[in-house]
Amino acid sequence: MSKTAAKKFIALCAVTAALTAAVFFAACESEYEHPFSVTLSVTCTAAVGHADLPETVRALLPADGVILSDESIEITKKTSVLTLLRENLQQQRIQFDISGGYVRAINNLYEKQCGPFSGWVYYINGSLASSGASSYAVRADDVIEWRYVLSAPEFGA
Amino acid sequence: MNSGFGLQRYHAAAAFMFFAAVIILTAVTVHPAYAAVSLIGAFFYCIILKKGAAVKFFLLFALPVIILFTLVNALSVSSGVTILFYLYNPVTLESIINGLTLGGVIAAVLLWFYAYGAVISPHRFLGLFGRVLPKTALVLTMSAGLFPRYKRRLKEVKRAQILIGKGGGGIKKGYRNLAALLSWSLCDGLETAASMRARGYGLKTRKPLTFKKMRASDIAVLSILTAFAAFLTAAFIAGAASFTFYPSLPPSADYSLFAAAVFAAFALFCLLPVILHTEEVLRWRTSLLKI
Amino acid sequence: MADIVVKNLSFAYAGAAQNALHNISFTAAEGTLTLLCGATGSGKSTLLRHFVKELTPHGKRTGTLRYGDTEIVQLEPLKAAQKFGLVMQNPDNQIVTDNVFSELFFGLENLGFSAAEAHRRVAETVGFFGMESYLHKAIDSLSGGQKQLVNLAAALALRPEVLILDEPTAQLDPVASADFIAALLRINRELGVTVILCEHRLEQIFAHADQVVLLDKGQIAALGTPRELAAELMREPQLNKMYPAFPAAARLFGAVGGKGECPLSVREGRAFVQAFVKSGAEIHSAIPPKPATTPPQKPSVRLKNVYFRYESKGLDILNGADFTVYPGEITCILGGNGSGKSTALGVMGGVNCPHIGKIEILEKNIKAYKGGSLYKGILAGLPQNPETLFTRETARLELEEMGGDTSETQRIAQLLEISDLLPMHPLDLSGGERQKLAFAKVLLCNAQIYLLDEPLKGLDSRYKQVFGAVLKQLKDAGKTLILATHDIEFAALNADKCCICFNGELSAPLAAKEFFAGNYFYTPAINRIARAAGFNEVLSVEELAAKLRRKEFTV
Repeated sequence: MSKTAAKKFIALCAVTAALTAAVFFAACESEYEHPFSVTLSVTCTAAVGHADLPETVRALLPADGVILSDESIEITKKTSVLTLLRENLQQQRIQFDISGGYVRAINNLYEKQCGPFSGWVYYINGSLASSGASSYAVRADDVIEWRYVLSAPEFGA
Repeated sequence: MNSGFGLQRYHAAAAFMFFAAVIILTAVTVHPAYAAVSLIGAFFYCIILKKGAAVKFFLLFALPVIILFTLVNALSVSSGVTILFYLYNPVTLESIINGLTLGGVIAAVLLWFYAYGAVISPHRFLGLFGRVLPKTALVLTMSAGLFPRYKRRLKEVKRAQILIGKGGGGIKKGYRNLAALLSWSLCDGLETAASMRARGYGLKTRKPLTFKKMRASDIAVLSILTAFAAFLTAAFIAGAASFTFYPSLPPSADYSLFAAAVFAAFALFCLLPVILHTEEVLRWRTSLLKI
Repeated sequence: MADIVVKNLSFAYAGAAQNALHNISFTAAEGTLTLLCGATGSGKSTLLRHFVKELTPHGKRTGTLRYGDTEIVQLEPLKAAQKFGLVMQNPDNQIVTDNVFSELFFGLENLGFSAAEAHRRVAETVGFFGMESYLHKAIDSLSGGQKQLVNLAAALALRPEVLILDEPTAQLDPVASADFIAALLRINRELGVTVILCEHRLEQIFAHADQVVLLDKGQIAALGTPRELAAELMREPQLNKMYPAFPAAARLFGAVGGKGECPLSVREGRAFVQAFVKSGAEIHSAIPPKPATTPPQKPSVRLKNVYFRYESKGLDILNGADFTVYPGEITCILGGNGSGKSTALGVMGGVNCPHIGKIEILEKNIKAYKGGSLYKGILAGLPQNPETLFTRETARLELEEMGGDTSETQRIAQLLEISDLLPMHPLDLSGGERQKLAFAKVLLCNAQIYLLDEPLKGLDSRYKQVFGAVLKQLKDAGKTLILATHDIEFAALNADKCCICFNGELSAPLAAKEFFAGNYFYTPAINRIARAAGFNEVLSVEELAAKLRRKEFTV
């Protein structure tokens, strides 16, 4: 391939890439026409004062178990429960550990620290969610509660 | 023949004891301060022994290890109360310090091994263990001699093959070169065996002759080092050097007098070779001036 | 201390049809130096191995081989190891440890000497050899000559009564060889150790032997003191296969039909020549003949201002070397050990890339030959270690892998006299045989330019003549032959041009006669003998004999 032909080819690739990116971003910015609000809270009442917790972690938990009290959040675009949690915790500078779409810890309270079945789950409008946190897109007026439970309750309870 | 100062000059047993102790103690360390002081001690000793080459080693191996471990830990472990910034997951100070400590421990061990190589030559090592494991000792000496020879020979084979038109790369050719080296060297081994047998190898139990007698100073140094090592080991087992990173670092006021004493002892231990070496160098220099 | 007595010894290797040794009888008296010589295959190595209990080959044996009143094979192993010392041909292979110090202690450790005793002995041995300067060096960094001396010292530390040496100088250059023989003679003369050695190159050792045993096809062809043997054999040179190996002085004596005592060393040769000449008319020193002017040819290999070093911090091995070689000629690069001859050949062969300088092969820059095309019919090289070429199970396969049809393979095999070696494994061959096989492989490359690095190692003097003839054939066919060697005798007889590699430079190749005539001691023995009569440019025994017989004196 001669030098000029190579240059042309590279230019073509760059333009294609730019166009593709633009289209992609446009598609992502699927804004909602009518923004709505949802409520988010994070509690760990079940873990407060639990015997299995190391002293250092126990000291970190709020006495009332409320890490994040009911926050009203405005939703403008399609957001998953996980993203919602992450963005808000990040705003409030609260620690979390999320890997592979799964919440392992919030505020240094890790799963399995209060027994082998303990961990973080989320409730939508009072009932335990059945889908993964990254696949559930929040809907208008949803009440989302993230709770630290000692054992996974039955679905739909 | 001995050359050098400090640990290089004392009986190999003292040097060996020191390195075994410091490497094991460092490897089980979880405390950042201990890791740091071991790293510093090792680095200074390496510089004294090998100067520029030590710096090169540090930059090429030790430093990348430290950086690597710190980065990996910071990015994969998000526990800790002090959040510095968010990179998808939070990056916490505790996590960084943990990474630094891990990296520091491994870097320190690397540097201690590097220093070991400069202090205990294969010959001294054999002088130490020859009597205990005579056959192994002999195999090690032979390998030490054969390794450079085979390296040289492989190069020769490659060049010779090129000159008859059988050169070039490729796995097949490389394999063939290696095979040529192997059969050649095995064949030579027969002659070596003959030479060994002609000199009486295998007739009686071989009695390797260690030429170093333990002098009073050697025994003194060995005892001091053993005492240190024993004390530190006991202290470590008792948990004097324990440390927790998550979710928060221990507050500084938490250190007992005992813990401080153990740390001081460890620091002194890690700096011992540097001290011994420098002290002797200075003594030697001043003795020259007296002439 | 006792005599070694061999009586009616016959031996055949297990499974062999013929005897390797027939009815050998002689005595090596205590404190004497016995020289075993013979052409390749004469059985001298086999005989030598019988003297070392550990190396005694397996097979059918009749006759006796006694040390004092005990059969050598029945000696107590401890006694055998202690009383008999062994030094073999290859300096590298006999060394066990990685440094000189441990090596000297090795035998002493095996035999259970106390630390104090061992210490004393090693101290003594090191002093005797003057080895202090390289005592603590790594063995790999020593030269071949130094390594061989270490081997000798290591054997001597056990205080043997007999030293057995199997071609100990075969792989050494002349200087190292002379050092080794000097050390050996000291051991024999000052310590009274009985020495039995076999050698190909007799020039340096022949005069010093107390007894010479000449073997041919497993039998004793001649036995006696060196002078007796020389006198007897010089009378019938054609019958003696070993004739070319004999010292130049002895050959000269035979060639001119001398009477009286046969001269053996260069000094005696010179005296002989002077006495011979005195009986004739006055002499004038001959002016070296002008080399015949050849029509100008295109150079086949050219080095221009080449600088080369192996390590970035090391010294330049080649320091601005300029060198030109023409086709249809045999050019010899002479020089001592480590002078850079091999490096120079490597540069010409394209395996060493100089950081400065130009190399031209057949008037084309060497870099222009891409992708190994240089080695397809243009250039081929024989390495210093023939073993580096062997990758197959039999010699025949080695030759066949070079391409070319079977008739070509057979022709080369016959030319180089290796036809009966073809079914053997290359590493089962002796040093000289490996050298021949390696050369055969290189010849099958059918190149225009041949670079030969020490091709004469381990070859007996008769074969060197065959080799010389092959080279001449190649040269007449217009090939370029470049040899790096320290064999001055061969170069004197066969080279068209010679040059010396020294201090990183190659001197301009001169016609052989001119080259040697201009030197003072870097010349073949016969030349140094001839100078006694003022013939500075004589390079062969025949030439000098002719001049003396014709009483040729003026130009």
